[in-house]
Amino acid sequence: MKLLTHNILTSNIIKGVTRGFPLKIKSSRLEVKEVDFNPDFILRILPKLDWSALRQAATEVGYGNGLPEELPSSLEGDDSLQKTIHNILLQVEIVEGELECPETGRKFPIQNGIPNMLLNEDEVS
Amino acid sequence: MITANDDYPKSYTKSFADINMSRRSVSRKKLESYLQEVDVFDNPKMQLEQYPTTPHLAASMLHTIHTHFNDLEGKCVADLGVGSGVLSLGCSMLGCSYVLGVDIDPEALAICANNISEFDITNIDLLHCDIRSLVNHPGRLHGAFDVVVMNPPFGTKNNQGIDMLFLQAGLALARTSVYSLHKTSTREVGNMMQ
Repeated sequence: MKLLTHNILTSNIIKGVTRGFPLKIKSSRLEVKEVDFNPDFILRILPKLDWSALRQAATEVGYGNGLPEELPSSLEGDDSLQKTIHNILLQVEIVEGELECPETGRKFPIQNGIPNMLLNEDEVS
Repeated sequence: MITANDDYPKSYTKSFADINMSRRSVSRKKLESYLQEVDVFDNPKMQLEQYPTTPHLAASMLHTIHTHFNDLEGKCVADLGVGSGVLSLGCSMLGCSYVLGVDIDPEALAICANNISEFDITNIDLLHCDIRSLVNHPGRLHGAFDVVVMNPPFGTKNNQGIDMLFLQAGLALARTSVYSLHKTSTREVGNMMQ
């Protein structure tokens, strides 16, 4: 699971959960896989992401270095920060670990890189 | 390695490195030949209507989306009911930046993960979840994707209406387009909703 995916996952599918974001991350195995760097994609997708959740997630898995608290209003020309963000969004992957609903504590295992967010029938909202 | 004149190579590692250099020029036929290497279900589950998308159909659909609508290169794509992953892999081969494949079946996801790794593709992520739960509660997935592609269950195995739920989920997740395959009798829904 990439941190881009983490940034768009919520546990509000659970009955009674209103926002369910951001999910807490525990990682027991990480991999960094090379992905083609496409600065246009990074610039286009960043405004749709929650920067503080992304920064927090990256920090939780040990990749928080070099991430500013506030995202600069423009990243145009800042090649180094673009590449750092590319790395944490697309290249860092949690292979084994778990996600946790911030409201109920419900845990979702991540195995073989795939988060399991399938609910039991009695949990579905 | 695949050479330019090998339309249907007999044996090669599942590599498409040459695509990266000239994405726009990948022919439909060549894409189809790559997708023929994708492993499909050993034991498709009838209840989930796991009919694999044939390489021919997948290549025709994706090549059209790519060349006519320019809706893949550099885009953020979701594949609902990803199955063995033929559509997701094809999207990646045609230059999309990120794909999220979603499926309810762990065995399908395992086959898909294996296919992704065999092709050495690194921009596809998988999610184990029930598409139906996303219809009313898409959360942050709402509008998170440029494009949704899917070959959903048709709703012919005591699951009538599942195809419409997939479409609703697709329309919730996509900002611009949903490309979905349906059986002829549901044609009024639109084979291609823009």
